[in-house]
Amino acid sequence: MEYLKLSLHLFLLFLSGSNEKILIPNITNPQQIVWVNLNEVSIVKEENIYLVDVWNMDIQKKGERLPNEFVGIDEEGNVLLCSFENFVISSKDDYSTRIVIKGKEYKYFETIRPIYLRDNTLVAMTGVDFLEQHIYKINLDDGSKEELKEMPKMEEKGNLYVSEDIYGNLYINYNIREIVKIIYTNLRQL
Amino acid sequence: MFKFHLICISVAIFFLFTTVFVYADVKLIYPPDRAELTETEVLFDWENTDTLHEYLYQWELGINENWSGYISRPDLVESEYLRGLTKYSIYYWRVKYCLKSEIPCKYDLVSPTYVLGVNKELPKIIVEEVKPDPKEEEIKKNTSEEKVEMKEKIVTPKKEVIPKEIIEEYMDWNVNTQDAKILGAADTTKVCRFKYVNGSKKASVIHCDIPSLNITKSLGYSIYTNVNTISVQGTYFSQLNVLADEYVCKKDFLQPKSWFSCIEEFKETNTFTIYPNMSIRIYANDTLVNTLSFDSQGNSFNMYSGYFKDGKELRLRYGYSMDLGKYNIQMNGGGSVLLSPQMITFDTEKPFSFPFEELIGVTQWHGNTAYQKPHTGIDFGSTKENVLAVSNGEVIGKGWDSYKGECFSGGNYLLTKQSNGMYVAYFHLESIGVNVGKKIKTGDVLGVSGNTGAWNCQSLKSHLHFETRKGRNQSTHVNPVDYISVDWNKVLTLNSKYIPERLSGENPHPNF
Repeated sequence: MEYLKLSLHLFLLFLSGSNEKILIPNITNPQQIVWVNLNEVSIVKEENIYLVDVWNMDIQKKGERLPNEFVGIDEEGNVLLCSFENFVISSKDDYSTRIVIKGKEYKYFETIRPIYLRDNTLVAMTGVDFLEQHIYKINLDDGSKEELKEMPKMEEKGNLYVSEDIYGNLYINYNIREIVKIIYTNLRQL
Repeated sequence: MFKFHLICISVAIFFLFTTVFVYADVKLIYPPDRAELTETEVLFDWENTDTLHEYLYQWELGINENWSGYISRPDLVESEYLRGLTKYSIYYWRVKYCLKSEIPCKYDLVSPTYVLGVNKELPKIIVEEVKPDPKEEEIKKNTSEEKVEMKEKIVTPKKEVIPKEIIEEYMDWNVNTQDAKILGAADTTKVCRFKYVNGSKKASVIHCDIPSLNITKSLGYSIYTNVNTISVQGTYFSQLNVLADEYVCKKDFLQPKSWFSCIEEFKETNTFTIYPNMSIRIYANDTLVNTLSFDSQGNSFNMYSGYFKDGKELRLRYGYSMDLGKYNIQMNGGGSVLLSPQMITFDTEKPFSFPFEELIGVTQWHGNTAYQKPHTGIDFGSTKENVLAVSNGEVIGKGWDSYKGECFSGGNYLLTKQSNGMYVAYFHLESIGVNVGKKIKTGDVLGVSGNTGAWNCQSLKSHLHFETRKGRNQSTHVNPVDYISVDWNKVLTLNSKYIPERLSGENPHPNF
């Protein structure tokens, strides 16, 4: 019955073409929001990693992380943890950042911290905010680093996104027509 | 066919009802027509006679009478808008509006147009001489007295607002709150405990002690005559520990009673943490005051309100909600606090003025911070701004500061000795416009802020590292907050929501 109600609701939204905004209960002021796919979004709140099903608002705790661990998603849609440490150095030949993902270590001169992690790509930016800001794209296969001129568009989900109000309350925003377009485009590419 | 016509007529009547029977009329309140102001920051205020429906407003400011040149601000929900204007000009202003339900809004309804002058006299309107009425004379006299008041320099006294008492608090549940039997784990130290019967979808609250919101500090400011703003700091529960005792309905063939009713059997106790959804708003005379900023760190919050007129009652209202869909439990609660203002004196005894022409936020405070222990000054988030002398004195040092080789360097620096015997230092300057020996006065431009120098062998972001010292040596540094005469509540920690490390150090307002 619940699925029938949900289906009818989504169908009517598709017909109307209007935007919908739904409160995500019981989670506020997250540290990270990571989309797994069109159905699920991972929300990191302090040490907890939650998985939210955006269509029925089912929230499950999926794991925990340490304070210096950043959350990403691997090829299979599972949580991927990236630990990072920054050091004070006195020579340009030294490294000031050490990153560890799946037991593999990466070392860099620049003092950077991760901001996006998906599959084999890590995007990092200058980690100390009083330094000149730079953005880098790192290939996790070989550790090679490329500087980007601007912040890349990391995920395109049209009108499906999580917004946050001034009190830290989170909302799922979506437009069914836009989502159908994305699904259709992806199916065509297959 | 008849049914189709009936549906069409019903829909038509519905739309007619929502569009025709709306008598909205927007009246402009402040500034009044033909006002001549001296302030460059103006709170535009208007009133909508239709209080039953929600509207969107577009504020418009014309820079000539035919509106060929104008600026506008659409999508306003509140019937007011604060805007900084250039110093000398004549403006025209009006408000366009539409029903909020009409998306996208066409703003096809328009208020009258008022004219105002900012530090400029309006052209006189030539009218026929009318015999003065004694009553009219009195009104004109009062108006001219008000005009003189507006042209006087407005001092901004601070009002300390102390919470009076919590008047009301409520908690609404969708489940039974009187059933208090605990058959599961006997731990009652958690904050909220529920009982849930699986299969029957019955739930009840065993106990749920949610702490009230507390206000720790609040300050009120008078911006203009009768126009105020307020900042409020406090604590609230941002996290709830929850215990859910789960029961099942036991079915036993040998117990006929269980065939028809639920015999509860304890299954397990689930524990988890939730972060309730929260909203906190300020009301002046039951009218919502918009919130300019809201920051929270853990259980602490700080909010800064928009502008409101002097009112008899200032109240803070808060609401929170919790939704445990799995157990079919929802809760909405909240309360309100009455705020009572008191006057406090503005502190003018500090010896130094602000080192910039305008207020600039801070990226790192003085003291032991997340980045440096200690940080010997304040970092202001400036980009190529004029850097000013903070009091009368003399330039006694200038050059390139390299305190730890090429990897740690202060870049272009300037050192001044002030007339009260203290020293002031500026680092990472882009350029310096004075030489050693130059006598300086308060407000003199000494140079331009920049990003010269290095940290961790890397280039710096543009900022000013500013130090106040008791002696010449850097080891005699003191907190500039104690020596600069400025309202530090208006000097924000920049981007602290995303970089909370910036709040560390001797931050005069640790939550924002």
